[in-house]
Amino acid sequence: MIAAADAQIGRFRTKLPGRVSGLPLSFVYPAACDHDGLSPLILVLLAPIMSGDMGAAARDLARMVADAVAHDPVAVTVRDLSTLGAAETAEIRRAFESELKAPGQPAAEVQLTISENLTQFLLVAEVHRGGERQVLLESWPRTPAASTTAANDKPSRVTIEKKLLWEQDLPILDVAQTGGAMLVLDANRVLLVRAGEPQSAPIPASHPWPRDMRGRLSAGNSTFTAYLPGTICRGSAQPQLSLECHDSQDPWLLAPGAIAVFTPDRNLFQGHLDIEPGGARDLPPFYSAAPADDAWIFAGDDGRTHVYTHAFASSWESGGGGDQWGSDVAGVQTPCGARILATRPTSLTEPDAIQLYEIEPSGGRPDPAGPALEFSGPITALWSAGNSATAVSRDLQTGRYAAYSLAPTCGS
Amino acid sequence: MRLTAWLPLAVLSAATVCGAATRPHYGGTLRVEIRAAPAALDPAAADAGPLVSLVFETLVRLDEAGAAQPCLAVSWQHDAAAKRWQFNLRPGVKLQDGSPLTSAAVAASLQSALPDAAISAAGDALITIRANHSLPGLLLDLAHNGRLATGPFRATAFEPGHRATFAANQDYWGGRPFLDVIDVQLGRGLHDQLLDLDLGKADIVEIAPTDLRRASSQGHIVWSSAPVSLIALSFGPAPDRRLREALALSIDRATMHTVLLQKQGEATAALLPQWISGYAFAFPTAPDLPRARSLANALPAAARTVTLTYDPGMRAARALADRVAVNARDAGLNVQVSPQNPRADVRLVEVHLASLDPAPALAGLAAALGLQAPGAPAASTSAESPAAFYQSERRLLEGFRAIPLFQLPVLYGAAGRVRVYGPQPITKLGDWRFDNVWLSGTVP
Repeated sequence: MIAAADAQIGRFRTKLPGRVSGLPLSFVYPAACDHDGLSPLILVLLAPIMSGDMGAAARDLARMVADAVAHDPVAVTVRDLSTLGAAETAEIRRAFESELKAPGQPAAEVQLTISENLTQFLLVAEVHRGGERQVLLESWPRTPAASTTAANDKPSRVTIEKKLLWEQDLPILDVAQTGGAMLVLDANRVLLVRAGEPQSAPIPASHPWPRDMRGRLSAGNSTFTAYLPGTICRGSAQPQLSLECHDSQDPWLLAPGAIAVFTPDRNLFQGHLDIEPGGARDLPPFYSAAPADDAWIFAGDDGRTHVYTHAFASSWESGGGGDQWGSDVAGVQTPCGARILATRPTSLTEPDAIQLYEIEPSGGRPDPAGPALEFSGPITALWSAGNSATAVSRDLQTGRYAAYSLAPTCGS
Repeated sequence: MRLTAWLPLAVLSAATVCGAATRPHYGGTLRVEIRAAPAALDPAAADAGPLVSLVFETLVRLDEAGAAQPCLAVSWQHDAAAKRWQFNLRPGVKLQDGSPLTSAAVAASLQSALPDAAISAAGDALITIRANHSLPGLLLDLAHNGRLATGPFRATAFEPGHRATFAANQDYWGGRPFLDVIDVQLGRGLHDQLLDLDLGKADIVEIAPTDLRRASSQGHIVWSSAPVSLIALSFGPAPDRRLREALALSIDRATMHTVLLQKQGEATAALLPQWISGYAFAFPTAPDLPRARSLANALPAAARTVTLTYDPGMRAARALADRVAVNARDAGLNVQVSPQNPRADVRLVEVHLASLDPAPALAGLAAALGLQAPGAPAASTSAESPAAFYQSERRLLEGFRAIPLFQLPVLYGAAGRVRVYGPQPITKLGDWRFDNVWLSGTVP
């Protein structure tokens, strides 16, 4: 049976994280809603814990154990049920045993368990002596998980040159070049990055955005247009960054000469698009579209990829099996012809990859060209950008978003 | 590019299985079935929990690791003693009646949830909470208390005990949910739920631990909360203390856990689960048959018999009750199992954890099991240490009026067309995060 240690209660205590006088103990900075399941940026300024608290807790508990066994020698076994690392476990053991160094034959057995709950780490000593069992506890506050650094993407023997353009905590929707500077679009702002401090122009949201927010940038030498669900912003990068936004259901520019209507409450293109030349077309709803010479590729909301040609009866659509594509496709012009980049049909909780495809002149099934380019997280955006494509990936470890330029290098 | 003519593809083959695409679909009706049959959509009702989480939100929510994350509050800070807290509210949030969320409304909601604290609102977005004692567990409290109707879905129909229907909140601050409608059938038995899932009549159902393998083998997705439901024996006033202790010492939890519960959750002799307390393992679970027999033998023969009852709708109840009777027989006790018997000596019960804060959680469990409160643990004692909670639990259990057996998770099975954009839609405490759920393909 459990022998009470009531006499010790007065000595039990929790070490509150109150060691930094005059400083608030924790801040959570305003962050994007975690509706997309991503952790917001959290910076916690806790006391110069934890090794101090941890060692003190271990020593305090050891002294309580020593009192409980009348300072007789004890045999100690340690088990770890916590998420602490081996170094911390060893330090706890060292600190605990340093207070229990009575010589001689053990008169009691002590099982020390390192445990944890949602807010604290615990040390639980179960003291067995002469058929009696006594339980003693100490605790100290948990620290947030140590920050992790972004994992490098795997080196790739690819035919796609991948270049990091920008990285931030908020989801990047698109990136575009304008007059020697770079524009970065997210749900809250347009950022202009060039020599000196980046400039930022806020995007007023007159309505809630879709939870898997999408946006597109189209930029000239100094002016640009940002397409957002139900909103269009027009701006200039010269002489200073300026931006004007208004509610609009106007079509988005998919590629030069091709526009399509975006449906904000479904977060996809409704299927009606205008091509120059070619005129208006009605197609099934699609998530993304990519031009490739004489063909267009559409990632439909039915989970299939559709290839349309201008003159051949042969077209292709992905189906079941191993030829499925993801919902994001982009076309790129290369010295050796047009190519298609496509994501995999992965979920947003697993790493994605981008595969380069060649389109047969006669239509038909696109052929994979070279190995897929692996990313450390899901691809959240993929847009055509002329000779290259822009891909945005969310790092599954850090939660940060990184925009890359993907430029195919044919023949290598 | 040259695009002079277009040849749209033929009608899609209905026989081809659609692949999973990265982009989620909007629209559709999610069909859910649950055992609970709440009479009202009331945040205070113990059995309305999952439904409430569709409509109501709190200042903070807990992530998968149990850490507080911004919800209606975007930031917070506290003083060194954790007696004074400040929360900054998220701007632009609307209540479901269309009115803006104000700091005054939040303060009023929090005041009823934290009666011991002084709560004040300043400006549009600042809430201050002050207490005479330290509130280190305040964020855990606020993850479940002070709910406001700002959630991703709004109730459109509610038939008490039968059906609840929810529609997407178009103005939800986190973005419109993917689903158009959630249709929840209430009061459905576990067997019927699983059958409906198999037949394609339901998209998400609760499943019993004993049906876990079957659900997985049928290709259903299985989601699990943390262990949040305490399975325990709860005695009425009559039986002798020695009988209660003998029964407690006779129970082989490990075998039941492995065989009957398929290792879901954890065997326990404590009230709070290990992940909440950190010390549950210090309450021994192993049977002690020699001592159980000794205690039973000391009783008059007529006093060695008890009646055990259970609610047939409870998960694995009959199997567990029968096994308790078998174990008791090995100790020389006679346990007669009698379902739905209001005059039974002991009940097999399932009590859902009401909070992640140990103080209110322990108080809630004690009340549900009819145990005497250990020095009135309430929000005011949330500053207590794990050692103090351990002592409280020990005192609550030392009379063997309740015998904790298992901490079980809440398990859900989902049809293949149910997809999730982000983390698992069942939280650690078993609440629903269906704003991230979407449906692929067509209704089966």
